Amino acid sequence: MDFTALVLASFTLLLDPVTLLYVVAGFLIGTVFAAIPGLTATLALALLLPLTYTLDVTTALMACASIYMAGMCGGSITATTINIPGAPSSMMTALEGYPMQQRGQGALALGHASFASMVGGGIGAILLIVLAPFVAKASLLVQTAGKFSLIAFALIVIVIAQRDRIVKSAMAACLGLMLATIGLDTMLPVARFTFGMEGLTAGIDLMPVIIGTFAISELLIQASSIAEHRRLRQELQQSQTIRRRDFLPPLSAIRGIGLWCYLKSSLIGYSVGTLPGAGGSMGSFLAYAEAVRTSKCPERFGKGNPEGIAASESANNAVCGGALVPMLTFGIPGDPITAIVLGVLIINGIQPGPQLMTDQAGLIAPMLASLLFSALVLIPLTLFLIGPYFIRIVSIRKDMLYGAIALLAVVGSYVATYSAYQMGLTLALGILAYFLRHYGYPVVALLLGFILGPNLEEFLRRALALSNGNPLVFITSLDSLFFILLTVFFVYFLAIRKPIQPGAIGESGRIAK
Amino acid sequence: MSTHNSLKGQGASSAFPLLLCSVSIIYLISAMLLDSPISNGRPSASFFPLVVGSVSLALAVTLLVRALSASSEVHQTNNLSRARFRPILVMVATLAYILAFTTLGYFLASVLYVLAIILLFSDFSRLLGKIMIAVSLTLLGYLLFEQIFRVRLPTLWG
Repeated sequence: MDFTALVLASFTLLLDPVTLLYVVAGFLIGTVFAAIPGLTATLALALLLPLTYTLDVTTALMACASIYMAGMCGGSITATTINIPGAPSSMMTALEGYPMQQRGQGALALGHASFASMVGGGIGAILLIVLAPFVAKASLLVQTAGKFSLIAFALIVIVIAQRDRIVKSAMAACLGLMLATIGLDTMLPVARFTFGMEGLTAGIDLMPVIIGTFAISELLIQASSIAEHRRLRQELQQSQTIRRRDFLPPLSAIRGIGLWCYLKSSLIGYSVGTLPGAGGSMGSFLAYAEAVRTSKCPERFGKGNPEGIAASESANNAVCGGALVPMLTFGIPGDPITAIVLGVLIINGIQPGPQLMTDQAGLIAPMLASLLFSALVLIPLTLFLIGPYFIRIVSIRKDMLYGAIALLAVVGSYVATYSAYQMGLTLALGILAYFLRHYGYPVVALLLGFILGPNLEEFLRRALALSNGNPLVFITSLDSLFFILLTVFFVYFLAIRKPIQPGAIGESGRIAK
Repeated sequence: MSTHNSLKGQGASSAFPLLLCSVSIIYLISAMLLDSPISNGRPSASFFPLVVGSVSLALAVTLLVRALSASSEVHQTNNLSRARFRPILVMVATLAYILAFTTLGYFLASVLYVLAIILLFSDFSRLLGKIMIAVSLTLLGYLLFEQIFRVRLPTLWG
């Protein structure tokens, strides 16, 4: 069956009440986590990862997709109501949403954000469904040397995407690669870096790395910022009450923004999403900057212009579709969320890569159906049904919240092997991630280094072995040369010739020259 | 006084790169001890770790040099002093929980752990209410893991 038809057929799975419950619950959890400043949908997914052990893989992937989509739009809630983006991807939304809130149009701003998220998320998901099979077919042409250069490209782009801390990012990636080499060698029966500990012979499982990196380290980071929580709670309680009828943006306002703005921003978001390490915040920023650049009235930006919200939110939700392309077709996650989704696949014994879209399309299609369903149905429905209670939900007591997070994280790490050893490993990795974050090292580079490490090593060694140790194989092989040139291109544009930074857009919405 | 603080700040900011340097050196030496990087014209098990270890050491040294040459961050060090202990207490509580988990069982260990985290994230006021919350969260965790997701959790008596 054609892949698009398979995705459409997968919508019938949502008729099963249990599956629908997981998808809706995932979306609500993702929204709440994304809305609370300090928490992220990545954390929600990391905490829920252990539960996927007992879930059917299709249902688990569908729930992951809904959390992902919710994570991108949920951040706009506190970005609009109290000027603190719940997620980094909503940073540009705050520039326009909060001035609207100050004018008493907070609900309308949330309505615009929700509508734009729906459009962007929908376009991103449709593009993914339509284009992914072609990318998967093209990826079959990439051979061993090319695969190494592709993974190296992904890792280098992830590192240089952290523009002002490239050395720290590279160091974090190296730590991830080092962790990935612990245990049995990928090609020979040799145990490496076990230091006499039997538990390390099989290597480090992905689960403690994800929970340690995102849940335990978050708990430790938040432990040092309690005063900030109290201030935030007071601000949330003081914010205005939102009424359901105020959410609907008038058709004239949507016409004023223009279909082209939604479409262009979604395409920008989708394209940015396909790049490793770029993420929702970069997509949102580029689309916002483009909206300012092409606007007839750029002076209106930064003062509560719905066009800015539309650009930012369309783009960051379209990123979801784009980011899943390299993960599904090459097995290369571009951001922490897709890395965790990759973890769900690996835990269930599914190897992502070119064959996934053809041999196991039946497993992937429901996930994409859930992504589209979340964008088109759950985003507007959630806003309409629980929108007025958003503020009450996100002002939940932090001591209770972190008590629950700590319990879920530590017990969750026990689930994989039923051993306290795994829990200890999670804590150790969490402490490492805490210190890395404390000193400004991006832990996403560590996670992606850990995930991509085994394949990077395998393809490097295989390519060299096939060419009798001749390193020129990476240049003489056309696919490899293509990715090397692509790497050089990105290094030049991202690291050498520095583009506009998000910080360059000031309060007024003008781009600093 | 300022010189003392300056040295203290410099020490704190360079301690982490120094640790990374040590880790890289240990990793690199361990990689060297594995075997020759090329065996029979093919890259061996030590080839990739040697590359990663060398790059890692170069990066760690760069970070250490940068940290040593950077101006001291006295202000940041002083501000962090109060908040610094809370994460350490969370680490200790989590370690104690892990050690007690299989011996004390899920319920007792979890109630104590959740209560400890709640207290670390708030204060000792309304203690009874916080104990009730800790018990409720533990019960919810039990329902989620054992009843819904069929994960067998350890108990105090078998």
